[in-house]
Formats: sequence, C-alpha cells, structure tokens
Amino acid sequence: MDRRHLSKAAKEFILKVAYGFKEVASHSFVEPWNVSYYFINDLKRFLASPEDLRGDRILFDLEVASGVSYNELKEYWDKLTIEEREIAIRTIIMSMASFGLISVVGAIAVNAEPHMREEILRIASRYYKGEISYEELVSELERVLWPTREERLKYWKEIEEYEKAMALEEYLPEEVVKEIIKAYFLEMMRLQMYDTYLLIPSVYPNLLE
Amino acid sequence: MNGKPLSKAADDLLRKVVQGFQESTEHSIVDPWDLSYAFIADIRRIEMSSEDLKGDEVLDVLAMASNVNYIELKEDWDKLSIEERKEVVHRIIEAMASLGLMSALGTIAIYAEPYKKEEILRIASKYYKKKISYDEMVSEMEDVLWPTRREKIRYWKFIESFRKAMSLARYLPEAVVRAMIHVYLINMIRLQMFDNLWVIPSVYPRLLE
Repeated sequence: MDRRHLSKAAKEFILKVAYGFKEVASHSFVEPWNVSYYFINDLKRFLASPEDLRGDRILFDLEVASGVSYNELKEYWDKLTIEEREIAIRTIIMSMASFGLISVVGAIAVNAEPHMREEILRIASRYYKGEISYEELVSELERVLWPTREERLKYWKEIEEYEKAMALEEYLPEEVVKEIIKAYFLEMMRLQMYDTYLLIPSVYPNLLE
Repeated sequence: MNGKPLSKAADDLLRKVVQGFQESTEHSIVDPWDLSYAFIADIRRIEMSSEDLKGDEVLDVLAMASNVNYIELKEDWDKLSIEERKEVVHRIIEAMASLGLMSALGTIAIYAEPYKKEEILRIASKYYKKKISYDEMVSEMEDVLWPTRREKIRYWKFIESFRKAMSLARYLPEAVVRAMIHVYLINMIRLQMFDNLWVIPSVYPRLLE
C-alpha cells in the first residue's frame, strides 16, 4: 500500500500532525532543523519495533510535536490499520525532514556572506548536474562556510548542527532534495548575484489572513 | 544595480542603512512590505522637495529606518558629493524595495491555499514568459487570492497591503523582478507541488553565527 491509497482518516491524521508540526517548529525557541531531527529520532524508535504501533504510546510524542491534542489524534489513530499507521508515521517523518532541510538550506542562502555565495552556487550546480554526490556537496559547503581550522574549532557546535540538519536528506526522495537545492542554492543565490544589497528576507509574515 | 563603484564612505553608509533596515524589519510588528513602502515614500518626498539631498533631512528617515544613530550616519554623509548621495539613496531604495517585494512574494508562496498556488504558478509563468505584463500579473493574482466580491470587501485592507507591496517593483530593474518571481512564485510553488506536505518555512534563523 502507498500513501495515495490511504483511508480518509489516515490522510487527515497525517495533515493534522504535519501542519501542527510546522506551527510548533515555527514558534519554537529551538532551531527548526533541530526540532525536526529530535522528533524524527523519537518516531523512528516506534518504526524499529512495529509492535509498538499497535498501542498508542506514539501519540504522546505526536501530541508534543504537533500541538494537536492526544484525544483528537486518538480518534483518527483508532480507525487506522497497523499498515496505515506505519505509512502515516513514515510520511510524517518525511514532512518533518523536508521542513528541517528547507529551513537550513534557506538559512544558508539568506545569511551566507556575499563572498561565500558564489562558491555555494558553484558547488550546488555541480551537485544538481550529478557531478558530485550529496555527501560531497555537504562537505564542500562546510569548507566554504567554515574555511579555516580556527573557525572549525570555534564553531564546532554550529558545524555539528549543520551536519545533523543536512543529514535530514536521508528521509527524502532524491528528486525532492534536488529541487530544494535548486530553489534555494541555485535560484536564490543567483538572485543575490544581481546586487550584494538585494536583501533576501529571513522572516515571512502572513499577508493573507 | 551594480552601478559604478562607490567611495568607502558611501559604501559604509549604504551597508549600515541596508543591514540596519533588514534587522529592523525582522523585529518589527509592522509587516516588512509596509515598512519598505513607508520609508521609500518618505525618502522620495525629501528627494523631490526643494531641500533635496543637499541638506541632511533624509538622514532622519534613514536613521529611523535602520536604527543606526543620526550622528554615525552624518559622519559618512558629510563626506559624499551630491552625486554620490543620489546614488546611495537610490540603492537604499532598491534594497528596501527588494526586501519588501520578496517578503510579499514569499508569503504568497508559503501561505496561499494549495489550489490557489497552482493558479498563481500559472499566472507567474505567463508573466515570466512575457505573455502578460507585471500589472496584469498582479491583478490576476489578486483575483485568485480574493476571488469573490464578498472577500474583496471583507479583506480590503489585505488587498491594499498586497497592492502596495507589489507596487515596490517599480523601484527595481525588470530583470530583478523577473528573477524574484521565478524564485518565489515559480520554483517555490513547484517545490510544493511534489507534495502538499513539503511545507516552506516562514522563518530562517541564523545558523552561521
């Protein structure tokens, strides 16, 4: 069974948690990629022993991750087969991973110093064309962002965070990762090439409501 | 954009105001496009008045927009020729307009309902391929975002804000506006077409410092 053939209850359950998670991660004091990483690790434990999906312990974790109440989640959960539960959790993990990965890639595109942008664009183009692997992209970018030994020692915590955030890619289809890299590292960086003072916003308030 | 090189004092003034403005918009309770619109209007009013840029009236506006103190700005300002002042002010306006416009485009790419995004992508593609003008694009998008007469009456304030935000394009070169539309309304929306669970973050915290 794949996601397209899930029941209405399963689809609604996924949407509730995924959109709730987005709200939670957007307003958290913790960086969004760290929130993704933390909850994904939590959820993975349940997938490792599918027996756990028979019970509802996982709903306590999903309640914290999404801000949706246990009772509301339980109403959906009770309607799902074990197979559907597993697919729903895998899908929620993908959604969390995409949010975390887009946040970190966007943060780099927005905040990287002008002299770094050209290098990042060059490396990202090589990845996009299939000339280097994702791991090579991550490690080459790391060297651009923290080029000296001194910086690597000083910013070891940020580097660790960066590596964890970029590792969220493992939960996503390759073509999606490529599109994320294209949108943020190729198109957005190219946009900034027009002028150093072309400011990419880091906060997007809601204009529509 | 990318006109002739600026003197050090001009470059310093430009950098201070632009970076300060970006910081201010990130922490302001006013939406970034509204801030851009208001400060640009103020600067343009002074530019066109009898006092124009010979005096330092414009510094009051720049100090307020950037949160950099007047005296610090004045030190750089006094070193500039009238021509340089014009160039710096022109580039500050462009930077403010780019931040305001991109914020508005980003918010549409993030918050528009999924079925509206598809329509917006179609309209943006028509503009990008030069099949319609910028003004036509804005008006078609408005009809997608607020389709009924009832919505247009109820959300008139948002519509006004949307129009003002989109009008910031007039301060930017056409090529830059097209590149922005490509990044936000084509690439970002396409990315979300893979799956309605790929949510685009609305905040990009700093990873790099």
